[in-house]
Amino acid sequence: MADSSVSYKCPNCGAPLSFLPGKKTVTCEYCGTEFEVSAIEELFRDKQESAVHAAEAQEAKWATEDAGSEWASDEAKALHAFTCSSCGAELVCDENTMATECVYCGNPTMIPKRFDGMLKPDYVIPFKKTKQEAVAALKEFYKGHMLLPSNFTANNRVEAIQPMYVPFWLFDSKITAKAQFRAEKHHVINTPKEVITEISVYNCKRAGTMSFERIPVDGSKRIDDAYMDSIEPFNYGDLVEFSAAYLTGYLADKYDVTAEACAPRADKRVENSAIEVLQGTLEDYDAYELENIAVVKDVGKVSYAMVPVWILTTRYNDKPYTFMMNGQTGKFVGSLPYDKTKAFLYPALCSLVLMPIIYFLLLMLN
Amino acid sequence: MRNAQCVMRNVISFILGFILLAGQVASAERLAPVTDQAKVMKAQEVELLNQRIKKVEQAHKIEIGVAFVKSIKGQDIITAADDFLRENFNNGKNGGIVLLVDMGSRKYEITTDTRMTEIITDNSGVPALKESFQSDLSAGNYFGAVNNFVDGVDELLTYYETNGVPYGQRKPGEIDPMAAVVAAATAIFLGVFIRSILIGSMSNIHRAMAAIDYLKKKSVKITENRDTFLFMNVQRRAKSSGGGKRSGGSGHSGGFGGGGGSF
Repeated sequence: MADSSVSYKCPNCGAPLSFLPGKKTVTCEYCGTEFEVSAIEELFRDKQESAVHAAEAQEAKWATEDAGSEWASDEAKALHAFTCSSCGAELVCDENTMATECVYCGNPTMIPKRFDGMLKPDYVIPFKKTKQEAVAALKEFYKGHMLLPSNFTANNRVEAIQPMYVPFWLFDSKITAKAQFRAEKHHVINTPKEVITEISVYNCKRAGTMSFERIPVDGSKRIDDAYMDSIEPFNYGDLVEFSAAYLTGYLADKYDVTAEACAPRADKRVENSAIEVLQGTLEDYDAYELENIAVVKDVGKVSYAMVPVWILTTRYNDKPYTFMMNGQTGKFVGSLPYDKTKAFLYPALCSLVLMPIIYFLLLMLN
Repeated sequence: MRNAQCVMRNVISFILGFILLAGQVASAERLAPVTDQAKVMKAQEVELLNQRIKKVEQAHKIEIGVAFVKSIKGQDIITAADDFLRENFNNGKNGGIVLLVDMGSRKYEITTDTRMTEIITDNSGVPALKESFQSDLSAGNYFGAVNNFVDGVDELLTYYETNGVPYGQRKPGEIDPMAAVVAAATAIFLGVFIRSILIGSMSNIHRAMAAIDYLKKKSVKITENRDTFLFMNVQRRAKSSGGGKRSGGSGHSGGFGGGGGSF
């Protein structure tokens, strides 16, 4: 059976190649030889093409009609088998997996078929943060949380640390925004007997044009959108043209949420930012309220990029906790469990300390 | 203009003092406590009140003055009451207090000197005192009004001598229940607020609502900036009268206190 996957192996020693965070070359961790990304692409282009053909051949062999039931057909669509080019084992992964690791030999494996046509990303932000930095960031994240259970750090263990390229849609847009605000100017007059406040009400019309560059919206159903929003922003200075070589040694998914489906999230963010920009022109007013806004997209462009994310999973009291780190900037996000006893005692203690202080302050004011 | 007002004020004070003096069988030492120039009480009632007031004066080492006048002839009643106290009842060891009733304008004014202000406060003592006699004054029961006024002064002084603090103020070490309830409620609210902050700090996951990080700042061009005035609202809020407190520059002069009203 022909290999339907490609393992990037060192042409010098045959060991697996990895793209190390922070480097611009692909490195063999065993013999230390470094290769330019373009050289690796050239070297493995033929192998990738062969793998594509092999994968197509295997897809054609999916005998969904023989399965005899509709759910088996769905399963067949979702699951795909590939052979590891290193050990020959059959790898099963879902329809979105672009890069993975052989569970038998640990060899970094890519599935070039998934890079084809519309599925191939335009850009990639290479990993800059290492596994050690991700672990250190997790430990740092634990600090300073008063409600963290005392035995959380002692008893929990990191179950998995996975570097993953997450598919993102990057939305460029040039917009024209028109808004109307109801704004107020307050003039206070103090007389011996009363305080008179004159509130002048205005209708403020504002319009403007502005451009947004590469608003990121993740295109993966498997990754929580809130986590992906939280690891923003990205530094697009490191954005490079996509090459499969960057994915070697990492997990990678292709998008399973289309750009059209993601667009409303980007549009809403653009609208909110446009409101913020237009509100900035109302500095002379004491209060204002948005009455309506219309945003017209003059230019809209979407590109597809792979973004580096470290995914760390821990388990505490049989419950998994997932943390994520921006593989480029190191921004770490996640949700920690809290100790319910501490959550009651600490605020209660604060209340007990504050009560006499507030009491004496009240007496002083009277 | 200001000199003319000053001269007028002195003249009126002199006339008021003269009237009051002339209407009395004055003793060599001081004016009798009750002066009824407006003739609203019987002589017997005045005498009874004088005796009652003298007893209270001796018990508390204070001086009390009450005057019913036909008119203060346009003079400010606060100034007239202050002058009446300063000139006639300002020698009590523990202070002096006067009640001046102007039958012409149907206004009355209580003035307390600097020492008495510490005992009968403008915030609590004077309002309590006013409440004790105002209804009798309005009903035309002037004897009863003065009697109640004197009783009120007696009670307020007794309270001060017994508790060491003026009426309306807490005794040293006594817990203010209202402040305690407010403090407890505020502390619990803050505790709940702190708890929500602490729990919220356990996660830094949040949805991105704006894209300001990705805005090209130089691309922003404001193409329309038009403001149209629609209308004006005017809100009026009366300033707090300070709970009826008046002292020094707020009405009474020379550190005196007190309060008044109409009947």
